[in-house]
Parts: sequence; C-alpha cells; structure tokens
Amino acid sequence: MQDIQTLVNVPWPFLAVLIPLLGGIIILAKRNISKVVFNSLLFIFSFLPLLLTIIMYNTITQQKVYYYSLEVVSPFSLTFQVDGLGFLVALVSAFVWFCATVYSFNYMEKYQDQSRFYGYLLLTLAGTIGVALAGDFLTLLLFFEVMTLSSYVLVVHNQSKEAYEAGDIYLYMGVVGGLLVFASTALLYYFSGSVSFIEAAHGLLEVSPEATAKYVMAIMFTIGFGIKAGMMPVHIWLPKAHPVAPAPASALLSGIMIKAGAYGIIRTLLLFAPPEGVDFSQMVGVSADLLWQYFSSMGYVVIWIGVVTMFMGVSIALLQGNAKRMLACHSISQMGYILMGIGAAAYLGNEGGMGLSGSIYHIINHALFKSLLFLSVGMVYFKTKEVNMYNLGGLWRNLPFTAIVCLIAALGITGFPGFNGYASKTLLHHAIEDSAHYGTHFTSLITAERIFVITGGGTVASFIKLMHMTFFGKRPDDLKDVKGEPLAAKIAMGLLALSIIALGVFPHAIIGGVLVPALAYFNIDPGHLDYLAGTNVFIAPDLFNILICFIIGTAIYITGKKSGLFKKELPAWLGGEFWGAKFIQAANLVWRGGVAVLDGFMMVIKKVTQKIYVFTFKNLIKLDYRPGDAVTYKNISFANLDFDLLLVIIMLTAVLSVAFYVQFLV
Amino acid sequence: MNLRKAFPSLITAITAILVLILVKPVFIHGEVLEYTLLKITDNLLISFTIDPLGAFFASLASVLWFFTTVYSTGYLAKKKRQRTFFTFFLISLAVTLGISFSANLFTFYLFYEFLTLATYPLVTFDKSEEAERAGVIYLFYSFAGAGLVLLGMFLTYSMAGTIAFDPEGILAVDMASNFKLIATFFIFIAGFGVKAAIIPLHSWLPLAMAAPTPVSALLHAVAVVKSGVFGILRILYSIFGIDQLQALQLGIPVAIIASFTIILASIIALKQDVLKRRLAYSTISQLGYITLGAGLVNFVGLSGGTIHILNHAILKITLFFCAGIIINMTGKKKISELAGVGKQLPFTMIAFTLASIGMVGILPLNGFISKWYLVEGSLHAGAPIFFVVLMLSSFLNACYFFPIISKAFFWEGPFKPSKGIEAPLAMLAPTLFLAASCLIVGIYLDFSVPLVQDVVTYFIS
Repeated sequence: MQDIQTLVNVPWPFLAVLIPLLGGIIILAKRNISKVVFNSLLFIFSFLPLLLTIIMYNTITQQKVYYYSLEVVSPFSLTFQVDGLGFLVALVSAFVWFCATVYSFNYMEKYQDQSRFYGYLLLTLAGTIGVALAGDFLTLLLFFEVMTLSSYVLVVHNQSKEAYEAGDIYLYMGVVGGLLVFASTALLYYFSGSVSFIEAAHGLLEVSPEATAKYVMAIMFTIGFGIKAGMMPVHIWLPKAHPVAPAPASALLSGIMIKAGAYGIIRTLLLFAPPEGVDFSQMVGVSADLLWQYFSSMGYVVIWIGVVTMFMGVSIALLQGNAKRMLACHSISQMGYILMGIGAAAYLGNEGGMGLSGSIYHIINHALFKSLLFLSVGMVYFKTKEVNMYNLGGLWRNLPFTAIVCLIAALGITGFPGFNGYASKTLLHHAIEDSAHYGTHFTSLITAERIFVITGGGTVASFIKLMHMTFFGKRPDDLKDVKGEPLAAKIAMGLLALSIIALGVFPHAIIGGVLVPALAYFNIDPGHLDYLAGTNVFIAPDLFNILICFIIGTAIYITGKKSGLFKKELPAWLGGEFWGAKFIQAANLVWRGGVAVLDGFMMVIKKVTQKIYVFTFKNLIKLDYRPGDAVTYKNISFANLDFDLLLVIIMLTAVLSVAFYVQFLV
Repeated sequence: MNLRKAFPSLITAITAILVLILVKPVFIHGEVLEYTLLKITDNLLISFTIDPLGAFFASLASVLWFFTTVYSTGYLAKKKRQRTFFTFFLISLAVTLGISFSANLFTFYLFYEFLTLATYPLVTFDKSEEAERAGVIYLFYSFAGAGLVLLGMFLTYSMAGTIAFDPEGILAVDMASNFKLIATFFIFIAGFGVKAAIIPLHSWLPLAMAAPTPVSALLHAVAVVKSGVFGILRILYSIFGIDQLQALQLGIPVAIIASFTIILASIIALKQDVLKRRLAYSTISQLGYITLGAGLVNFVGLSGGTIHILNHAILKITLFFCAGIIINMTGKKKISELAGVGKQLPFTMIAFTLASIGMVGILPLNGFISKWYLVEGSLHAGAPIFFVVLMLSSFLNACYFFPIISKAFFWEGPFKPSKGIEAPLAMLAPTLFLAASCLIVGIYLDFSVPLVQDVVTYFIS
C-alpha cells in the first residue's frame, strides 16, 4: 500500500462545485433562449462536473488526497478534501445527474417553467457534489443546506396541492436536519477546536470518552443526517416528497440526495473512530481499547436502526399501488441496508472493512438502480399519464426498451447474481454475519441477519409485483396506442443499465480495485483489508442465500396476489406515516394550546397596561389647565403639539424618578 | 431626479463618508478620540468620545441611513409633506450619531430623549388614527424608559461619583451594597429595555409599524431599537464592566430575559398576518439575540451579540425594504394576499428570500455567523440551555419566513409579470444592494469578524 499523498491547491474540487453553481444561476437568469442553446448549455454544465470529478480518479489509484482551501477567518474557510470515499460519492452523483439531465430533455418538454427546474437542478448538483468533496463539517453543512433549499424547488415544481404539502414537510424537516448538523458542528468545534474531519477526530481524543455531551453530539449528527437519509423514524417526509417531483428529480432525490445523509453518517462515525498514528500510552485516561469499545456500542445501535428501517421500509412498500411511492419506500428500505452496513463497520471496529465497503458499494449501486427505476417508471408515466400499477399492464410490447432496463434495474435491486445489487448485498450480509459471530450480541444480531434475509424476500416480491403489473400481465385496452421512447431518454437509461451490469459482472474488480483503496484512508487493519480484497462473492452459500430470498419473495407475491392483500386498503395504523400524522396533529394541538395560553397571558398584560395608560391619561388631562378640552390626547401630533403637555409628562417622569431616588437613598 | 429631491440623500452620503473617515483611526490605530462640547458642572459634561463600540454603531447607522434616504425618496415620491419627513429624518440621524458617540451617561440620556422626540413625527407621519395612537403609546413607553435611565444615572452617580463611560466599568463591588448595585442594574435594563423591545416592554414596536415603511425599516430595525440595545451594552460593559458582571452574576438573568423574548416573540410572529407586523415581532426576537450575547459575558458571546447588530441591521432593513416595495407596488399588506407575488416582483422577492435565509441562520448568509458565535458563547458560558433556545428560535424563524417565500414564488395568484422595471429604481437599487451585501458580509468574513473583535477586545481582553 502506498503512502497517502496530499496534493494541495488543486482547484478541481472547487471547480466541480463552482461550475454547476454558476450554471444554475445562468440558466435561472437567462430565460427566453432557444431550445438548442438551452439544451447544449445544460449538457455542458452537467457534463463538466462529471469530467472534473473523473480527473481526480487517482485518489483511488494512487492514494492521493486533493486539498483545496479558501481561507477566510478560522474556522470559516471553504475547504475541500477529496479522499477515496468522497471521490466515489461525487463520481456517482455526477454520473447519475448527467444521465437524468439527458433524460429530462424530452421528459420536461411539457412542463411549465423549465428554466426554473433546470436551474435548481444544477444548484442541487452543486450542493450534492459539494457535500461529497467537502473537507470540513462547515463546508459540508454549507453544501448540505444548498442542496436542501434548492431541491425544495424541485419537489414543489408540479405546483399541485400534494406538492405543496410534501414540499412543506420536506422543507421543514430539511431545516431541522440542517440545524441539528449545525448544532452538532458547533459542539464539535467547542470540544475539539476544529471542524476539519481529521483534526477534529484528533481533537476529540482529548475529551474523556465518558463525557455524555460527546454522545449527544453523535446522536444529533446522526439524526440530522438521518433525516436526509430517510432513517426511521424521521423518514416521514420521504414517501411524500419523492413521488410528487417530476421523474428525473425523483430519481435524483431518491437515488443521490439521500446518500448525502448516509455519507454524513459515515463521516460522523469515522470522527469517533480512534485515528491512526496516535500514541495512546502518552495520553492520560484514554486508551485505544476503551475508545473502540464506545465506538462499537454506537455501531450496535446503528445496526438496529438500519435493520428496523430496512424492514419497515419494505413492509410499507409492499402495500403501495402507486409505483413511484413504492420506489420511494424502497429507498427507505435500501437506506436501511446502508445504515446497517455502517453500523456493522463500527461494531467491528478496525476490522469493520466489510460493512463499510458493503455500504459504500451499496450507496453506488442503489444510486444507479434506483434512479433507473424512477426514470423507467417516469417513462411509463410520460407515455400513459398513469403511475398506479393496478391500472397498467402488458406494456413490454409498447415500451420494450423501458421494460428491459426496468427489468435490469429490478434484478439489480433484488440482488440477482450478475447484477450490481448482488455483490453489495452479499458484502452486507457477510458484515452482519461477522458481527454476529465475532461480536458480543450473538442472539440479537443473528435475528438481525434473519430480518435481513426476509427483507430481501420482501424486496423481491415487490419488484415481481412492479414488473408483472406494469410490463407483463394483461394490457388494459386504452393503452394499446402507447409507443415510442425518445432517443435521449433511451441513451440515458441505457447508460445506467450498462453500468449496473458492469458493476454486477465484475464485482471483484470493484472490491479489490476501488473499495479497498478507498478504505485505505481510514484506520482499518491492513490484514483485514487483504482479506476483504480476496472476498469472492460467487460462492455457493451466498448464491444459496439469494435463492432463499427469491423463494421467499415469490411466496410473498403469490400469497399477496391470491389473497388480495396488496390491493387492500392500507391498514392505516400500521404505517409510520399514520403515526407521523397523528404526532403532527398532537403537536399542532399542543402548539395551539400553548399559543392560546400565551395569547391569554399577553392579553392580560395588554389590558393591564392599557388600564394604566387610560388612568394616566385621565389624570394628565385633569392637569391640563384648559378646561373643556378633554380630547387633547386623541389629537396629539407634532403639528399641534401642546408643548406644555409634553413638559408635564417630562416633569412627571422626573418627579417620579426623584421620588424613587429618595426612597432608595433613605 | 431634481436637486431638491436628491438633497437629503446627498447630506446622508456626506455624513456617512465623514463618519467613516472619523472612525478610521479608531479601528486602525486603536486611538480613542474625545471632545467636550459643554461643561455644565465639573461632573456634568456634554462630551463625545469615539471608542470602538460607538464607532461601529455610528458607521453602521450612517451608512444604512444613506440607503434608507435614497429608498425614501422613491417611496414617498407621490406623498405630500416630504419636507417635514426629511427634516425629522435627518435630525434623527444626528441624534443617533450623538448616541453612539456619547462619552458619558448624561450625554447619552440627553440624546436618548431627543431620539424619541425626533422620531415621533415620523411615526405619526401618516396622520391616521392608528398612527396617532401608536405615536402616543410610543411617547409614553419611551419617556417611561428614559425616566428609569435618569433614575439609574442618579444612582450611579451617588455610588461612583462619575458617570463617564469606561471600558473597565465605573462601578465596583465595594462601592455600595450588592442590593443597590443589582437594583441599579435592573433599573437600567428596564429603562433601555423599552427601546430594545424586551418582552413585556415591547408593545410600542408593533404598533409603530403604522409609520411609513422606510421609517419602520430604519428606526425600528436599526436606529431606535439598536440604540436601546446599544444602551444595554454600555450599561453592561462601560458602567458595570466585566469584572463586576462576573462578581455579581448579572449576565445570566439578562440572558434568561433575552431568551424569553426570543422565543415568545418568535411564537407571536408565527400568527401575524400583516407582513410588517410579522417583521416587527421578528425584530423583537432578533434583538433578543444581541441582548443574549451581551448577557453571556464572555468574549465569544459578546462577539456574537455585537456582530448580530451589524448582521441583523442589514438583514432586517432588506426585509423591510422588500415589504415597502410590496406595499407600494401592489397595495397588499397581508401575507395571505401575497400568493404569486413573485411573478410581479421577482427581484424584490429574491432579495426577501436571501434575507430570510440569513435570518434563519443558514450558511453562507451573514446570520449564520452571529448564530455560530452565540452558540459557541453559550457553550463557553457553560449554559447549553441558550444553545437550545437559539436552535429553537432558528427553526421558528424558518417557520415564519419560509411560507411567505413559497407562497410568493410557487402559488398561483392574481399577479401579472410587470412590464419594464418592477419598482422605481430609487427603491429597488438599495434593496438589491443590501440583499447582496447580506451575502457578501456572510462570505467575506475578513471584513466583519476582525471589526467586531476590535470592539469586543476593547471591553474584554
């Protein structure tokens, strides 16, 4: 393994963020330009960030870190620091973004106000890439907020009633998330004296591991990023907000933006991992073992959050009839996989490379297949104006290309061998198994492993449902004339489908050539990395595992179809949203009550002060030496101001003051 | 624009330049300039000094006054009695500068009273019944507050034998009983709290929104209310001094009062439907930030409070300017009527959006910096409860600002895109310039942070 070399003052990361930012502003400012110019501008602005990200590929091949900082006042400097992890996230974001933009050329034609959509699409791209390339938490927070605020516009772009509702909850939860990250960054700076990823990790060592505030900080970071990542129970915005946006935006919201949350959680967790090259024998009260122990218990919590999230997500998804909503629910579920992997990584400490690499791999894979799924469902909607699966069917004859790419993506998400989801899911499965076997919570974690497998089955069932009800099965009569996928959209979807297959067919090249070098930046045991690099995913037990998933999935689907369970109205009390709505209702009630009490309180104060005023005025009017002019106070204004009245007021104040004064002295 | 119309703007421009020249040595060489105008007795002087805090406030006020004057010429273009308006408008500038340069409590008190008198005709400028009523209430609140300040001044003189401001404080713990010192302190806080709109002494402020919008913008977001806050800072750090504050534990009560103000005002703001009233309550809440920063009694916290004087001034004046443009161009005063206004006034609403984001304290706008320093200050003071207050208030800020924006841009309303320029240039240009400066001050921190650190170092070394 080569030493990590830092390249200072290379502006690529800065440019990769700046170009889409400027592009967005240009697109927003320049309305009324011809379509060709408009589209080529868009093409350039979304292609350049991809190119600039690719330039930094030697973070992976040669262990180079790109560092670029614009010093302002400490600690507020715009710092970029690109290591393997950041590079991968940025690369996949830029790639999917590029595909989605190309796809939208046709899709967005009939929508109103295209320049607003594309402008904010580019601004959101800047935010997302910025999150991945940021070198400290303040820079990360900056781009995180840029991303949240500009993607709000994408969510409400349809301007329907649903979109407003979804947009509101998206915006306010986003603001809360941002504030939590802000609060925990402030705490981090207070404790460690730095906000940069590396220095802060060193600074945190000085804080006693028993200090609770440190864990409050970790929890706030996790919830703050978890809101964006769709973590249970703060996921309630996700199934509302993702489906209402136009399809390319849904693809990006669900495929890329929620990854920013997962990325943030990884960064937080690495903050608490004991950094490399620290001599613990020199430090008082801190030992590496103790730190690993705390780190590991944090991981245990995250594993279970992840497991609950994945299972609940898939359960809600099975009951959905709206295809886009179903995909959004699957995003929650898949984020559960990623969270579980992150948790397993922390749980196993410096041998947790399996979980971490599985998570990173799944971040990439999920970005690809989920955006492709949204784009193909979007294509169906584009042609039929219908997203309810129960009203569709047999579309493979009309939209063959869409059917094929959708099938590829579905095989990817269900983890069929030879497609990308298989490799990452296998790694994650290894990670949870390892955690169960090498950790101290065997029973609990082996249960988690079972849930993992069942969740896989649920995923299979719900994608059989999607494929069967949309592209196969019986075709409704009114859909006979649907045909013709636009070329640009075909290219975009084709690119994504190809990358899914490529990542799936050569998983070992990815693990050894990309993931292991990316992990080399973190404090992971070298022996473990070698073991990881030698992992073979195409072995009998793993294949058997997937087989079980498919059997469970088919069984669930057949049962569901036969018993009509899928078509049943949602049992409201089962869904998290129901409770979310109840919670909001209760909060509203408490809020109204509070406001009413406050109002009453203010009313009393107001009444009392008014009484005092009236009393004072009446007495002052009595002091007025002109009899019969009792309405004076109503007509006071500077033009006819009675200076004598003013003098009386001032004198009274003075007299009162002196009276107080005497009372205090004597 | 003829010369007569440009005259007030010209005067304020010259004043601003003069003030900036005057305060330059203070920040560059650390000199403190002094000048005695009138000696009434040996201890009763009308004298001026330019120390960093005063210089900071004066330069802020004079520069913003210039923009507001330009804006007013546009806003009042079709109104009568412009001469009255600008006369008192310029007098108020003089008085505000007098407040910021005061060297002792007596001078301060004098100008503090003058400020009430000079701004009263502006508040009642519309001559409507509402305005008259607001004016009377304004007078009474202000005079009551000033009376308390006078009382505090007597008490201070009886204990310290002087009333000149001193960066280390003029009162000492051994001068009188603790009770008397604390009583003096709270008399002062109540006195200045009226103009600083501390709840429950705030009711004059929302009523005073009956004034023309530029007046609301300047007087009730910058000059009048900030002079109250300025008075609180003077009391805390020039009369009592940091050592006494720490010895008597006076900071925390102030911070608690400020926290109540912050939260209560934010909650009340949520249910205001009249745009200017919502802004007024937001002002009350944001003034609480400054008081809170002062009450934290440490370097970082005071930096946060002081820098928020600057940041809040720019942000709030931008918001008021936008509100003024909306009122002038569309005649709509209520938020519920503003659906789709972004079509007619896109630039105004962009400025409004920027300033609102700044108010919430989101990067990279300037509000974030104040919030960051306040949060760090509360941690340094060992009182994380204020941390929670700040975060909660940020969220409430988002709750009362963002609906306006989403309504303006994304809802359908009766507004049509305007032909040509959306508002008179005299109004639009200052608004956009100030909105841009929110962003610039937020990004180019080399300007504001060292400035504020100079101010704070003068009191806390």
